[in-house]
Amino acid sequence: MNYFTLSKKSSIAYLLVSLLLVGGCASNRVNRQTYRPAEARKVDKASQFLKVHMSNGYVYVLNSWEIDDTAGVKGDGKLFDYNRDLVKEGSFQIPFRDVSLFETNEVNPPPQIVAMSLVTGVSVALTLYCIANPKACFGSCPTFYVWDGKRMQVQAEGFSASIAPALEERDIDALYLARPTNRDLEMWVTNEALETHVIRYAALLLARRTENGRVFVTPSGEFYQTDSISGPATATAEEGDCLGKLSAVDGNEYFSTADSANLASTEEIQLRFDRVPGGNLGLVLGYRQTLLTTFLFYQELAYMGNSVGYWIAGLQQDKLGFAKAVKSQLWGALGAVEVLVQDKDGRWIKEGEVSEVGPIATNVEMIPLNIALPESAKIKLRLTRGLWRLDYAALARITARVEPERILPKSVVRGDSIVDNKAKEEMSGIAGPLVTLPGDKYSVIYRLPEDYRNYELFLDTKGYYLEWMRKEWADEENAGMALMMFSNPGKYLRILAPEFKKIEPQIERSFWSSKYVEH
Amino acid sequence: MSNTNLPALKLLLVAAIAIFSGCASVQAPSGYLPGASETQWDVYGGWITVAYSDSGTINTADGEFIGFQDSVVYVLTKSEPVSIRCEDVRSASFDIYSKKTWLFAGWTLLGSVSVLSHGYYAVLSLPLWLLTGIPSTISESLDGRYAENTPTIYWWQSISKFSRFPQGIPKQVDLRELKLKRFSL
Repeated sequence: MNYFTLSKKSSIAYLLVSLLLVGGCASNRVNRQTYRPAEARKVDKASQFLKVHMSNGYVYVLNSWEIDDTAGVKGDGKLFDYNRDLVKEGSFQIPFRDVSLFETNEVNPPPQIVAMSLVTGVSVALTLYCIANPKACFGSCPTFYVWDGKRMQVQAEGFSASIAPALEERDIDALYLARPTNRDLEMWVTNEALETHVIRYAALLLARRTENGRVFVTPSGEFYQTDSISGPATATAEEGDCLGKLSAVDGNEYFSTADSANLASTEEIQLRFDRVPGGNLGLVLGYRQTLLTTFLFYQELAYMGNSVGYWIAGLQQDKLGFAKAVKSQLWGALGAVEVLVQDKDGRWIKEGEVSEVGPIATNVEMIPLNIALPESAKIKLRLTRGLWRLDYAALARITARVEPERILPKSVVRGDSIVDNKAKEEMSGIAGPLVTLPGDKYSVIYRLPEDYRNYELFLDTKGYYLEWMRKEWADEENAGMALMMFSNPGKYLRILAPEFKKIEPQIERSFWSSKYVEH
Repeated sequence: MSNTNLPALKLLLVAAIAIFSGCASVQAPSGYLPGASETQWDVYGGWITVAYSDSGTINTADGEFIGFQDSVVYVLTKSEPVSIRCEDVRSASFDIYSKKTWLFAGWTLLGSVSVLSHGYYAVLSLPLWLLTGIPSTISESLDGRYAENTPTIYWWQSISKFSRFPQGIPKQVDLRELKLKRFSL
């Protein structure tokens, strides 16, 4: 909805000016003092005006004045009679004997002006900050919350790369931190951004796990039971030791800053594992993206400007191969988190990669390793600088491949209390799709097996979403740059590097502080 | 409109109601009272409304506060001067200068609207605006106002400095000849 008929920037500018003008017009507080002639010495000489009330009801209003202890009052001003008609204007010499009272008025700004001015200052600064960083504000993706033992925690973001119907795809996310407390697992499905979400389905996948093991999904959607999960003995990035940041899925993440000349520049992290178990192994990674892709996405929308509808339609028609270009060239240029293993000859062999798009929820995935590792093994991660946040790395012994059981929603509640059977069917893939708008929230109940603690939970979603265009973005419309993202993403990433570096230090804080709605 | 904005808009509405319901209304005719700065050179008394008992009925006199002397309150109404014995007064309210309550209210509402540009920061900035703006607006509406039920002599003495004749009613003045301040709406 447009709150203003003017452009947003103009409206905000008018608003700020109005705030300042209103503040400047606020009134003052009056402190009136009266003095008998005998108290003439006490009269506040700093007062700009002096009123001299006479015994006959007349009053002098003097705008420059002085009191002589013996002669009386001298000054310039006006004399009014008791009906307050003007009698005379000019200089006066007023003897004390005819004076009844002196009156001064001290006028001060009220204290509430100070408080309101402070709040205005903070508010204006905040507004200017959000204007200056439009691509740092109001961002999100389809988000899914599940109980983690302490609170409802965002544990998955669905199909974050599916930014148009043509890019619709299935997405499987591990609910790695889910801690169901009974057979009815509650999941919140929320739309927290200025986006339209189109959800074909949101199903739960349950994979049985062993007592001490866990089940991991690979980027290609295969599920493996594992046991003997162990972290690295050392983890070294270019900046130094990062072992502590990779020890658990706890939000304490390793990440670097982007290269100032090329957003596709890479870095490497060296992992060393001791006492590697025998058998088939997989490298488990917990990761998510930084806001670099969010920036690139929003910047591309800005370059598309008012023509964004044509571009999205073109993407849908795919006459120019845009969809393929996004999937292969752009993501290819940006790069994944590549996993390389050193073979017995010392060569680094790429074993796979993880690359799920999205800055909100941590993905936990496993790359099965084809090369048999020695007891002390080295694994290298190659990743794009400033693009990835790594939370976890571990080796797991694969014991079996499993097929998960698929669970559809048992019930769906819209908002806080409205039972929505239509949404239940839509989220089950029976009807639909379910379309959500900013601020929408659904509480979905999945019925788990009796021995639900023996299952690993995954979220299986399919759909796409449409980012809402912001007026401030349209100012940067540039068809050439918009096309470059598809035709020459390498160059595109080099050109945008300085722009991203300008906002990189504060983009995380701005992004998380500016969700359209908090659930 | 997204339903997410509804709570914020409801809050703004409640705030607006709170602002205006907590404010004191000025009973002086529009244009009569000087601004706060103008009180330095304004030569008239403030505007007073007095409810008083007269032969068993309650009457109201409102007009310029002319003065207080010998336990008698003098009010120049639009039609005539009225003198009221202090002990007959049931209540009195008195304004010295015109307030700019609407400016504070507008300031608060504009500020509250401006948080729409703050994204999630609005969770902090909107309450900040309301918690500062509402008390400030109410405070402004009460500023320069005196009101009292069954006011004492001391109360009258304390506010008599805001009358036309703070020194007391001059002997030479015939109250019937007094003219009310000419003012434009």
